[in-house]
Amino acid sequence: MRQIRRVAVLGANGTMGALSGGIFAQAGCEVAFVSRSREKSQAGIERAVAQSRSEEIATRATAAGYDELPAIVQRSDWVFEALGEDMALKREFYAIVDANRRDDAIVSTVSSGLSIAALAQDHSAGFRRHFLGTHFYNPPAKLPACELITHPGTDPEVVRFAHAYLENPLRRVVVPTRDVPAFAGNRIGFQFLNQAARLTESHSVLLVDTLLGPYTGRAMPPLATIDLVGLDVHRAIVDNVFENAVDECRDCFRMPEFMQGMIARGQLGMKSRGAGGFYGPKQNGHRPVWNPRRESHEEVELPRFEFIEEARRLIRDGLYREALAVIFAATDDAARLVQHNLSGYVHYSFARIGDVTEPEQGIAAIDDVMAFGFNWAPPGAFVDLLGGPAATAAVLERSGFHPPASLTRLREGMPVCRVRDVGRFFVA
Amino acid sequence: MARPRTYILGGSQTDFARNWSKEGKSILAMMREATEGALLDADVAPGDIEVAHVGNFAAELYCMQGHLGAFVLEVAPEFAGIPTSRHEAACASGSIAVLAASSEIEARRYGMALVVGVEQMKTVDSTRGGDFLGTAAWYEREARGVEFPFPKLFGRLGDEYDRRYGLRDEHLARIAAINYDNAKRNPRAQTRDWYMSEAHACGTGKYNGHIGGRIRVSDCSQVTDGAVAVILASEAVARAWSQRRGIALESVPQILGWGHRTAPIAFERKLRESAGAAYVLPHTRQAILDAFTRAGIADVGGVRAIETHDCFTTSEYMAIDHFGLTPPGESWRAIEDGSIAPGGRCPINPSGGLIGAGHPVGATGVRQLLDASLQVSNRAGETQVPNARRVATLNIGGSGTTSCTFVIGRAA
Repeated sequence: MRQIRRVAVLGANGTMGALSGGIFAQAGCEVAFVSRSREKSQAGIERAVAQSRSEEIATRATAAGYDELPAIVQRSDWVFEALGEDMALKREFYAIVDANRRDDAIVSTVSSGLSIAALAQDHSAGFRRHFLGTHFYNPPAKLPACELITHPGTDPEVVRFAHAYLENPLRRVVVPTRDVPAFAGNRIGFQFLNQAARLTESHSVLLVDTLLGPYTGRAMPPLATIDLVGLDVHRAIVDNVFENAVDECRDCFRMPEFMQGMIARGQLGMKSRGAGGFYGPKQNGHRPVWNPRRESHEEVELPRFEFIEEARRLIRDGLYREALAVIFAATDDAARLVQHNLSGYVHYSFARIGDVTEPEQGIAAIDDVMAFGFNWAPPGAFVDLLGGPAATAAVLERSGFHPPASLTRLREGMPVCRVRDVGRFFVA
Repeated sequence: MARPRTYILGGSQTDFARNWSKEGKSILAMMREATEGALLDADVAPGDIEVAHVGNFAAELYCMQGHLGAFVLEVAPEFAGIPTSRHEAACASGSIAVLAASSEIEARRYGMALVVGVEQMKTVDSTRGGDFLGTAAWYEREARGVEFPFPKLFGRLGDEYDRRYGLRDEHLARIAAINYDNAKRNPRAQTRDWYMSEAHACGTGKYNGHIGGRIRVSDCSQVTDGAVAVILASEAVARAWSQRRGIALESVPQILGWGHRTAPIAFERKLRESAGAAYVLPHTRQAILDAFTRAGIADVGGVRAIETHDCFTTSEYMAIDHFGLTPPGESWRAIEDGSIAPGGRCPINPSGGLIGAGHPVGATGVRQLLDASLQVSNRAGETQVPNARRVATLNIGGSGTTSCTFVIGRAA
């Protein structure tokens, strides 16, 4: 019986390495945090301690530099790689792992979108059998989704074991996805985010974030989310999809030209404290927003729309169906934009069944990753709240989308979404 | 003539991990989700509800909203005109609402009642919330100007055990660890994804400092937003309901016995009055005995599990001997021999209790009743205690002031 007692985390100084290492330590594993230096690894342990709110997990954590990597890999049951999203760099480290790993050691990558098959290529047969993608979301203590991605050579026993272990004791919501660019969550999530970014070519940042804000089923408005993720990371994800994926919405992943300029000027979002991103640094209690035409941050008045106010009032008292009914019944241009983007999200999600996830999973896997990876109302919840598959198909058609067969062939009268308490995603 | 009975047809609780203020939601949204969930779980039409009782501690303070009974009518148009009321007895508010509803059913005034326990607590910071909770004690004498009065009061309960019988903090840490561990199996528990271990609970580092006497962070229940609703019914209504579902009436959970006692509100006076007595909180002990007598069981051996009021580890420590799992002062034995852990002689808080599942003050008594009824009808999922025919609850308001207990079970 395979047991996971010792885990090595590569790239343990980064957010995903440190916090994922903490998740293993919380489950009782002895975790070696490995990075460029012992000091950086120690800083990673401290982040893991803060995440768990317990110094006790540090008793199971050791800090090491890469000079110690071969010895650490030799005694590890699971090597969890969380290096930067750089294929060549990862493969370089995999060579060291391959040369030192025990025959039965699992090797996984936390990559959010690189090809698992390409990462596995040319390594030993044993490495390839034990290699898979385990994409944790950030921060893993709050977003428990984990995409599980295999390549044709991954041993099914390893997949079964990893799936079960990720669920318990690591307490992940495991979402098996296909080895496609950006996998499932980032493919669908960044389609929506990039559509929002593209809208700012013709609408103000604040208008877009107001229209597609928390009341539409997400904790944070889309452009604020891009600022949090980082414009550079956003670019890497959408460029990867644009270049390597083919679907009916390829242009959705073309990043607006002005964002290239922002990145070039170092406006990467929240991590660029002085420069900001879509939102500038706070001034007099206000947050100025980026004007792409004037290339400056400026204060704009918060737009107000009666249909949004009414929807928020209904959400506040727990009337989620009624709130969506108000949103989709409104007839002004702003409401049409909201309807189009929410319909687009539902349409794109259902159209990806069988593309990013296996067809037999239906919408369930995509629902899981959007709920537990993005903290967004999952697409299946919209179908239930809009009154079922036929009513949703009608809504999609009104917004100019052809309803996918994966939606229209669903049975009426049966709940579509398995995720519980979907009301929590709609924030008043 | 046989004693009239109260049956529990079903119920629902909100996810106690949610922060409803962050979601921008009102207390009505919580009541709505719990009530709609209960109606769905019990497969009951809203038009069949004849009366509603709400348990709530302090919505006037936390939400600037009183008169919560009236809010039930906002949940469904079919509730129009039904009699409603709100009940308050600090952390025992939920049980008082259940007692009121079951009294009316047993008096044959109504055939089917909705009980909703609800508290929205994350509207204020922890210091202000701690001050509000102080109104469950004698505020002027015990809480005014005191930061976090309740950890201090329940720390003194531990001190009193220590003085009379001896008390080791490791035993309190074990109580905390068991409750957190149980909560991991409860998909609606507030702390289900939090990290906790016995070693952490025994430590006193940056993340587990003392906050009131011997009480550490890990000894405390949580500040929780939550609502719980249950549907109660008379025997005649439950019979028709069970026939419609093709199940035996004997398999439907019912309130077999109840106890309800009130002690002096000031903690010091409680201790003074129990000086020299076997039990530190004799009124709590009596409430438990009353429930056992009414349920027709001789002692704690008649129940398979307990959902108790662990607002702090010291209150669970007290409950162990007050239930009679050990002689007075020897609660540590039931901790050491595994009696209260899953698989033990009488598991305590398979739900995770207040420490693990959460403690939305006015909802807790209703949550305990719901969890007990799920246990005895074998619907408790991963928290299920095997062969749980009867389960007891203990819900305490204030510093051991109002004690409410139920024995929930099925006839067959």
